[in-house]
Amino acid sequence: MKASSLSAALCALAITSSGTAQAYGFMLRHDYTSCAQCHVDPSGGSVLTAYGRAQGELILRTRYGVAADEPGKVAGFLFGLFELPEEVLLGGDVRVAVLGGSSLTKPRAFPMQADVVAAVKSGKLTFSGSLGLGSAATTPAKLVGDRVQLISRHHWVGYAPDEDQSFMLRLGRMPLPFGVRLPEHTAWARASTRTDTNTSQQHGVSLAYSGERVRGELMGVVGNLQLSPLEYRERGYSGFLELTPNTWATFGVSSLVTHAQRDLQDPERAVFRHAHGIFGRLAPWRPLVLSLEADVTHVSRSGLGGDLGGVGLLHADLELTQGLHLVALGEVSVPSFRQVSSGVGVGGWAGAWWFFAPHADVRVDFITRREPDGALHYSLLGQLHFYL
Amino acid sequence: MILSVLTATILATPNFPAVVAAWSSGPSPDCTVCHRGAPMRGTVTTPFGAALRERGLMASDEATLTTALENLQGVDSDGDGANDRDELRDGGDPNQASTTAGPPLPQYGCSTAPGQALWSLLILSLTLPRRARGHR
Repeated sequence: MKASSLSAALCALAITSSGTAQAYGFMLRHDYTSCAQCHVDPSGGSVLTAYGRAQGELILRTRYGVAADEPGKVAGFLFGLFELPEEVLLGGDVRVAVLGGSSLTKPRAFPMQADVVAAVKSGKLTFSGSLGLGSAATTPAKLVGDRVQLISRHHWVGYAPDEDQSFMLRLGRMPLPFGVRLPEHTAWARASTRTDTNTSQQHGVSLAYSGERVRGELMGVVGNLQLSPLEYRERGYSGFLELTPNTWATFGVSSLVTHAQRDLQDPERAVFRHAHGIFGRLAPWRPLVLSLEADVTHVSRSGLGGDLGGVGLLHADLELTQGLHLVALGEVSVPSFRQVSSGVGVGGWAGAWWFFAPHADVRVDFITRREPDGALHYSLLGQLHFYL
Repeated sequence: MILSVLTATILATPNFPAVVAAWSSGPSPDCTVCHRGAPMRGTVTTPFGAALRERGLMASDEATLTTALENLQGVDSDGDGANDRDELRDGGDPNQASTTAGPPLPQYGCSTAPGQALWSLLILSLTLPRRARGHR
């Protein structure tokens, strides 16, 4: 492979790996089957609840032999520097990455994420929003700017009729509910279904339910209102339903159908997108959490039709000792089942992830992919992440 | 200070519009001269962008862009009789012949998406009455 093409592949990966609000599915090992206990978003990611912050301090990071029953002030916003009203939840993420190829001769450091997030609760209403700095890679979330952009990945208002917030009706810009939310948000399963939590959020109305045995969310999509003209905006639905027969296994289904009068890739044509699939999470042994997903996809453009394809992933998280994880992900992408012989992509991630201090983690991944067109990409990605 | 450092680092990423502007001796073109939709991988599908890719353009690699532009001499992507370089020099769009009405290009941001402002107003209208009641 030419150095230039390798460099291009790495840069493309870097661009598409821009930061995201993460949800940690591996918390299943602690019997957390749903996301709503730790996150304001009922489907996970972004703003942490006070309880979520406490768990981050007590069971997420390495304790270095010092056990604690209470999280202490350090779990709070900015290490507890400010006392916030109970109704106000603030947070943020700063993520810096270093990316290099196999020779590591020209590693490149760049910011992945610089976001501030907030949620305000007022009775049965919750307002949540994010503001951050972005670049060309985050353009779908752009508010203003060009090379350096002010972005908002999400902003919504939610109504929860019950105190336990088991039901939440939301209106605004939010991640599309679909499949498993993994930190490896550039996986083909997220890219092919356009449900990457980095910038694939759209506006719409959603109803989420978080119960002991069942959780799910159904969203009516009205499109990305930060995109114009409106012919490019997608309308449709996206949703998932996950069953939890016990505390160590969950199984779910996802479905998404959208339509746009103009396809971003081919503006002369209208486009229908379908994605439907199954997913699950398993913790057969407390240190090990497996997540899997398989989806069929179909993109149909007016006058051209489309092919049925598929994507799948298997993700493993092994916590060696509290806070130190080994992570592996295998994935496959089949753009067209009719032409399997001409293009099947396979990829793999292998990495180590250490939550080494309050509000901080560091991660190193080796990533390799053979794209459906046969191109081989590989890289070493390091990330240093702080949450406020 | 953190934001300044991050901003400076963001600015250190490859700047394709500036390279194209230097080549054409014209103004810095918009991302949409090459990208349809978000300027990211897989969206370099405009006629001008496709012409560059056919000449070896690779993502985020300025060297391949320079080479592709050098090999683009005389190319007229929209077939309107004016070559791409001249159109860019004059601030035009090499993807759309001036006499041909093509589809509108996608744009992002509040200034180009009035629906966003309406949406924000709707959310505000929902939250403000509740806050007002809460203060009674």
